[in-house]
Amino acid sequence: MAAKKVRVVLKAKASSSFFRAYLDERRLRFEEGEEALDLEPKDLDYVLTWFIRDVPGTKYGIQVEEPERVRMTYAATLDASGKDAGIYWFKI
Amino acid sequence: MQGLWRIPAAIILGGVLAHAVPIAGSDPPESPEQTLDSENKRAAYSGLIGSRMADPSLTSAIGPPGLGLQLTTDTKDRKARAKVGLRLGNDFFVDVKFIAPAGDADSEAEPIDLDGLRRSAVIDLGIHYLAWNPRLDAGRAKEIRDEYLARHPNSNKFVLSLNALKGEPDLRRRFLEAITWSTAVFAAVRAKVGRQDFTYADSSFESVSVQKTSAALEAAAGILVPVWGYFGISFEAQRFYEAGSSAELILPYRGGPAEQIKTLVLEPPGRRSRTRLQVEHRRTIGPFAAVNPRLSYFPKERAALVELPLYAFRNPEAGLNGGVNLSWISRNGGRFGLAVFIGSAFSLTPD
Repeated sequence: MAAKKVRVVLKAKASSSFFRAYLDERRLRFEEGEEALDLEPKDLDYVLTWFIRDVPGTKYGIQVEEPERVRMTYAATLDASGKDAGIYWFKI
Repeated sequence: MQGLWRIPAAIILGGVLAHAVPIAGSDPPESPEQTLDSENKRAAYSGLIGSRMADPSLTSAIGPPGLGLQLTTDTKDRKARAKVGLRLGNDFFVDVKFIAPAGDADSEAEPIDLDGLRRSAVIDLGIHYLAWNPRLDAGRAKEIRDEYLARHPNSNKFVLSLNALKGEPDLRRRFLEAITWSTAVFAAVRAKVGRQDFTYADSSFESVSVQKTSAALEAAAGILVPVWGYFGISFEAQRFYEAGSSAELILPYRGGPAEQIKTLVLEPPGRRSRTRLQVEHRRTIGPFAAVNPRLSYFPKERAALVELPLYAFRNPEAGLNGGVNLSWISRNGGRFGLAVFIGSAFSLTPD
């Protein structure tokens, strides 16, 4: 019997065209700033990755809002390199 | 100007996140807030943005959205250009250019370029698509995380980022090496509509004024290579009107015995078509200059046009603000041209 799917809600705030986020290999599009996915629990971690290139000083953020036990909020301001990338592992 | 025209509607997080907040079971990720001095901003512009998408003369098919104003002038032609660009969703942005000829529309001087709409007041709408798919090797990132946790046994970090690894230069370097930033690919279509006034003399030498509508469609594609800058190719098809040939006539002055010499266009404007294939490259040269060499070929005329716009940065905040355009066309045994343009500050950011 298949495990019950878990709703994962992700949000992002990034005004740059050069911002991308992926959950495993899946591109996240953040329609209206939010994307909700129904994911099956698995033994391995889900991997959220994100990338941004823009003018130094640009602020952006990415967030896992649900489920609460894996909640994460990350925000940063681009430094002189004009780029940032990150990764977040979580298990559901 | 940066961010003035940004539309964050597609990607909105509730409230502005000024700082990262702790996550369950982990250290709070760092989010350094830095105030960059102008030297750092200049370096970043030239290295990150300036070499990538700058289109200061507003003449390329693909350029960054934002607000732009330009006035270009040479010995035969003056033009004012304004551009407004907006981002739509994740991958699309649009821009509209308004181009007004500021010189003598009836000038008979032969232009160095072969733009059939060059003397028309033009509205130019562009729709751009951006494909960019960077990747991070999660396995290597996990090794870096394990190394981080070994160095900081009390930490329980599940978030790794370039910013968060600033205190660990070797791990940050390894993290960077695990990232494939990839090449950004652009595609665009543009539609242009222009109106131009023409005056000619009818069979009774009476002056007739008409306004004609010209149009053009353009398709363009380009890639942004992190190290080398932007490379683009475009194809444009134009349907436009060209003034008829003129002649000097000796006519009676107000029906009296005196005569006057008048230069008259003796035929209505004729409809023409033209196609153009163009390749271009954009990149910066040092912190204060950029180049945008372009090679155009007009199959019908069997003519080639080589342009070398040189742009000057005033300062990073103001963006590119002027330059010159050296050009050469193969027609009539080859002719050189020189244009100077100035413009107001505008954002170079690919919003």
